[in-house]
Amino acid sequence: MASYVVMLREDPAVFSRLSPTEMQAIIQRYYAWFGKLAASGRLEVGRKLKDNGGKHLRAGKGKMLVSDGPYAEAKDVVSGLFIVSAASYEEAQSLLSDCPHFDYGWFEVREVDVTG
Amino acid sequence: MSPDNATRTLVADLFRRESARLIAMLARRIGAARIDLVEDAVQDALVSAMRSWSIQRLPANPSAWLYTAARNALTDRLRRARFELPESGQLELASSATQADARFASEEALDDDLLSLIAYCCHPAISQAAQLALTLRLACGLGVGEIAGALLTTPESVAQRIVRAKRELRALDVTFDLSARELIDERLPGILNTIYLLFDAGYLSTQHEQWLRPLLCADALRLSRMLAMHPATDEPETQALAALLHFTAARLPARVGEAGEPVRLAKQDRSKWDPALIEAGFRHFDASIRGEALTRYHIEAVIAATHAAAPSMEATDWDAILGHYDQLCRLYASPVAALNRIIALRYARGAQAAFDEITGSQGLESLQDSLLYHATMAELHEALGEHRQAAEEFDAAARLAGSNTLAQLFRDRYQASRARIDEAS
Repeated sequence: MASYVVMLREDPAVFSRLSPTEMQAIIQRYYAWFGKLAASGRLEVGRKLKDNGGKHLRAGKGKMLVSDGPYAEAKDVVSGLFIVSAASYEEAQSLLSDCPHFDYGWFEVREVDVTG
Repeated sequence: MSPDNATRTLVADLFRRESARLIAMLARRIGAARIDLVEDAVQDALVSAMRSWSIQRLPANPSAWLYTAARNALTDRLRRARFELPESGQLELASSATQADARFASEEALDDDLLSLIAYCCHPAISQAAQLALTLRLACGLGVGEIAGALLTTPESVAQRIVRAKRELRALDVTFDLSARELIDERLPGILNTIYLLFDAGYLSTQHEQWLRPLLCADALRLSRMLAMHPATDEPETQALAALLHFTAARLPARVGEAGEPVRLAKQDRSKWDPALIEAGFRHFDASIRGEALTRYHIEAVIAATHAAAPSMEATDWDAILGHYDQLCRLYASPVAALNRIIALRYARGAQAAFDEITGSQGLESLQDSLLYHATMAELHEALGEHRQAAEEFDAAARLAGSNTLAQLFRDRYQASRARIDEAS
């Protein structure tokens, strides 16, 4: 079994017109899906990232250069990530096939590279 | 979310109720003029809850989470909009945070806030349709698309109606501060009418696929109860409306058949009527007759009470009901009241008397192409053994039904009438 980091990416503007009832229904859909994944033992960890307050850190001359971003106003935001275990990339892909996030955003999936 | 995923679940309708509650509470604190900012801040909070809770476990106290998020979003939006705002609003929001947090936990304070918000939505300067749309949006937490569904119009026109209404209220400098007299004399009639229309929109629509929308009825019922219990709005007409809605809502469980079709009064299993709601209805009814006031809600409530007290169709006091409809048509004439009077007449005096009345009646012209009119005519023809005419009228009703369930109901009746023609010949 290998581990795969799944990054949830989305355009937050997609959600701005939803009604309260629609939003609650979306939570229930994600919740049911994650629950199923957790019950199958394939979900290692899952976390939401804060939209704002993130920074980019770079080395400068003698001191660290800090710049703000990414911003929630951007059209492509990493909103959260989770790690699943799967036998292959194809299997990781198929674990995601019925995730409700496809209706609101997209995924970036990367295999965790384990050194010997 | 983690693998040890807790089994917390959200209370049904939580987001919708919290939306109304947060808008009511925050708008009252920063003033009606900035209600748009409040709406946006509450939307921010709900969106961020949705995005966060979808991935993580639910917070232990979702309402408190939403409240904090909405308050922070509002502070943020106020800061960004500060160029057009007096400083005081921002200061007030920051300094009264603790006080507000205490307020958040109090149901009575919530009712005060909600009442202020509804009174704002039902300002007599805006049209009845706008009052209803605004109430559905702000006090019931419905989205524009959902309101359009409830009011049988387009989302664009609902959005326009709401924007225009808010602009008019802003131009008039409408605030949440109301004297007791203004509230009762000026706002209460609109508030009660809006709640009546809200219930009606949920009760029976001939044009919806989902012909009974319990959610709208439940909201109307809840608001009517809140107003009846609130010392500022506890007036005889408020009690009468609450009584009417409780009696009517008590019949809801018996109004839906196994296939989801509506079941008419004559065929309802009265053991399914909700006794607790009937009892509450009588309590509100008793409170409604303390004074001299006689509103249409009083008359409609007494009709509903007569039905609620009757063990069967046959044992119903139809003479009394007819008398109340006579009064209703005299004092508060409307085509629907006139048609309902005809139905009472049928049970009190027989189908022939009702038929003579309906064909000779003034005031029903505007209903003559409606489903209710054709359905009533069909029932009368059938009661008179005129199966051919009954079939024609059921057919007309089926064509006018906007939902498949309702159309099917009338098509079945049509077939039954056809079968009786064949039996007779």
